[in-house]
Amino acid sequence: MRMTRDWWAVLLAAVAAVLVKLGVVQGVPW
Amino acid sequence: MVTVAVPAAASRADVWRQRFALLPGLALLGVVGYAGKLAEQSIASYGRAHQLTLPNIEYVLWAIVFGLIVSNTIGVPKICRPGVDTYEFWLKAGIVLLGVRFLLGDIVRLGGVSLVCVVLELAMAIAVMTALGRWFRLSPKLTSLLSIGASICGVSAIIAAKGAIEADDEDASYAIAAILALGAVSLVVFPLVGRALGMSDHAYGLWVGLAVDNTAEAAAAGALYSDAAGRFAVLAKTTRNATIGFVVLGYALYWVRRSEAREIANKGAFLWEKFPKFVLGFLVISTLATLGTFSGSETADLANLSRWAFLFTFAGVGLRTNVGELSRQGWRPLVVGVVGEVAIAVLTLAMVVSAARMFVF
Repeated sequence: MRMTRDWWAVLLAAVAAVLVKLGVVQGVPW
Repeated sequence: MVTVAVPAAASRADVWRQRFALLPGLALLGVVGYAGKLAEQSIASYGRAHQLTLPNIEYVLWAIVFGLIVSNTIGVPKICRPGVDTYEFWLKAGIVLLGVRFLLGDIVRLGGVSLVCVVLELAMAIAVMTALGRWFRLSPKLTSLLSIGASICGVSAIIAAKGAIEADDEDASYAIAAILALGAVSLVVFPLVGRALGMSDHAYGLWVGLAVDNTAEAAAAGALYSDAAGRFAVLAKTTRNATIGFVVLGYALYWVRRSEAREIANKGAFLWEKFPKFVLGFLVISTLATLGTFSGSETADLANLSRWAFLFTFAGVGLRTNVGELSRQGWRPLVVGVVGEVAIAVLTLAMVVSAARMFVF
């Protein structure tokens, strides 16, 4: 089954949240 | 076994080829968006260094303007198009991450007021567009597409409805062109009206979320006013997007009854298929934020990642808007779009101003 772009967007955001929570990604500049 | 393995390997290669094809466009989105951010920072630091009070023009506007310049002068190179077309993907990922800055209580409170306004807006937009479409003798399916585009969420709603009501490609591109042209105008007009009326961030964001049709333009028009207004605009627009399945289903059933569209076997599955899934992601992240899952610095990191995703989106808005193409689409759908959108903008403004007085926001 092919994943829609909507689900890919949710997955990407979920991965980002997990990486931030685990401390792998921190101090993201803006 | 070999005969099975060869097509599988070929299709895997195709998938990778498609992914690599996105890279040039993604790079262009990044460069245009980052140039917008640099422009904002450079002007601010020039003002500080020379003790000048310069207007704070957000990166949002610069990214869109730079994108417009590229798309309407040299044009977006063909090699970059697949990547540039991902701008809505970044918008959705950005909205999910933005959920970290909303606590569920805010969503229920704001969403409640928004929901009432959204229901009223849907009814008004469909009534206004249907009446105008009949008046200007547009084809009934084009009128349906414009009504759906104006009432819910612009381009995605039109694409979802096109398949469901079996409209022509030409009607769909007319409707999309009209919605995008008006979205571009709203970026200039809405902040001016908001400032002239001295609207609060909340009231302005709600108005933008109700009246601007395409989600990317709604997010941009909100962010141009203020960061908080941008968040309120996204919340109101997301509430509106959540109704997409119901409105498209309503129209599909109407066209089935007129025997001009396929029968819908499973209405529940149809609603689920059309429902924007990123709304669920947004609610999950908000729930986690409400439960205190993220520390202050983690919240800041996720909010900043959401800003980067929006930077790609706003660059894409400019890069996807071709002024020449819009003017070639013919005047009648555009007139219906302009008159309809102005009417909807005025009616929703009156509604939001009344709601702001009633609920004090």
